[in-house]
Amino acid sequence: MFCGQAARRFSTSASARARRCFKKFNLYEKRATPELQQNLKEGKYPEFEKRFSRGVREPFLPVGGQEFVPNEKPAKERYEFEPFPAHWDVSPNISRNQVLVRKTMWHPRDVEPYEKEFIPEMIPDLIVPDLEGFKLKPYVSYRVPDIEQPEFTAQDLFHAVYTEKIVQDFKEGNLNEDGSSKEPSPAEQLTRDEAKIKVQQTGSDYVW
Amino acid sequence: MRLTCVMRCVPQVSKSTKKYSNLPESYIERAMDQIEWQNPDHGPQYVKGKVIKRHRFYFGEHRPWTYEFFKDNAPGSYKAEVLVEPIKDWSFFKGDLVEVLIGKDKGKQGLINYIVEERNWVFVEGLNCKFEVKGKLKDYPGMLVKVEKPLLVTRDVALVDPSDKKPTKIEWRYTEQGERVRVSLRSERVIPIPIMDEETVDYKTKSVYKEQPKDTVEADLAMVTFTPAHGTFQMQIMEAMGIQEHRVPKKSYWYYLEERC
Repeated sequence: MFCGQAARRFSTSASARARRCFKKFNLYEKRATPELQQNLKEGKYPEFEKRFSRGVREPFLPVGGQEFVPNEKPAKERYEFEPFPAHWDVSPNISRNQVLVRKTMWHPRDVEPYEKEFIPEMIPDLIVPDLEGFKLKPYVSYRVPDIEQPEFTAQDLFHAVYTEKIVQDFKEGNLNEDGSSKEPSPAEQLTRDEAKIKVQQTGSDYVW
Repeated sequence: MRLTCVMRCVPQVSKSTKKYSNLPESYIERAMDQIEWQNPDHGPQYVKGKVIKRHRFYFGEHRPWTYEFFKDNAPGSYKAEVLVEPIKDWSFFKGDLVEVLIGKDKGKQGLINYIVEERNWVFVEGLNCKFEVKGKLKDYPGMLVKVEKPLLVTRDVALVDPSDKKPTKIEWRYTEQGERVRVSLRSERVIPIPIMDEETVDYKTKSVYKEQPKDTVEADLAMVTFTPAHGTFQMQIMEAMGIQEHRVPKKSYWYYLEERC
């Protein structure tokens, strides 16, 4: 049983974890005392906003290649000399002659403030192809009958590139005895090694 | 094997229902699912794919993906097992002219407007009806609505011969073109499958389907925009962008071990 003096406890974490927030990460922007909300709007706690920015990286970098300087003092010591935000739960710890801080709402970062510079390239810019005049749409109408398309084979490619020229040469008598053309086109002149070089010149590592 | 064993295997979502829904099969499965427990994917302590769910469904006159079907099969409820006579070839389709063989409408002919293949049921337009009072309140007597009741295909209904309009038995046969048709045994005439059979949730027939703004039209779909050309994809891109490369790469070789050759 409890004895001695009666103690009443309260915490701000319940209101910070707004009821719907079942994952238990705190939603400070949504729920806070009017005083704190006012302070947040005015930007009195920049660190506070940074901590709960939910993973969105700011498009800023330290000026002149500065680095983040961690505060070398342990956090506990610093608390004694810094003023506390009003919403902290601060109470004197009499036996150790210290100030006890319950980190009920947020933990200040161990990082010194630094000068920062806006860098526009850090804002993601999605480049999307322009689909104006593109007629295919996400679905196919039920009216469309089944379309059967044969596979495009090497023979089809041969017909597309060479056949017309060969037929023309044959009709005009421009063929040698071995079947090669007397006046070959650039496609006909192409040897295996030259073709290979042309492919590799694109930067492709295709080897056969 | 006993006949009852065969009959117990029957109740699954039938082909005609799936066809009418015009929905993916997986959607119908998902809509019917009543999962009580499913093991998580991760973790070595879980047996993979272990599911506790309802396997036996009661098929009434409602479609399996509807809320009414869910109400028929409410979680925790039990319905007596229904034995359905297995049929080899389903031969009743929407729009068929049939004669009712039982009940007060015995001898009357009408068109089939609804099919539940899972139960061997057929609903005939305006025949074998009952009256239901709907919307009844304290101070309002309600409306009397005429509702068709199901008829068993195996017993209560017969297809009508198109030549003399009398009920017949039918047989599935092949034409000389290899087409599978229903033939009336009374006059050996083919009973064609009606156009109404093509109807689904989305359209009456495909040809009269109203195209939506997100549908691709036939002319756009059938257009061939591919022109075969010499060279790889990268080479064609370089040519289109006007990129020229004069450096010649060094020769490289592949050496194979003898075993592989």
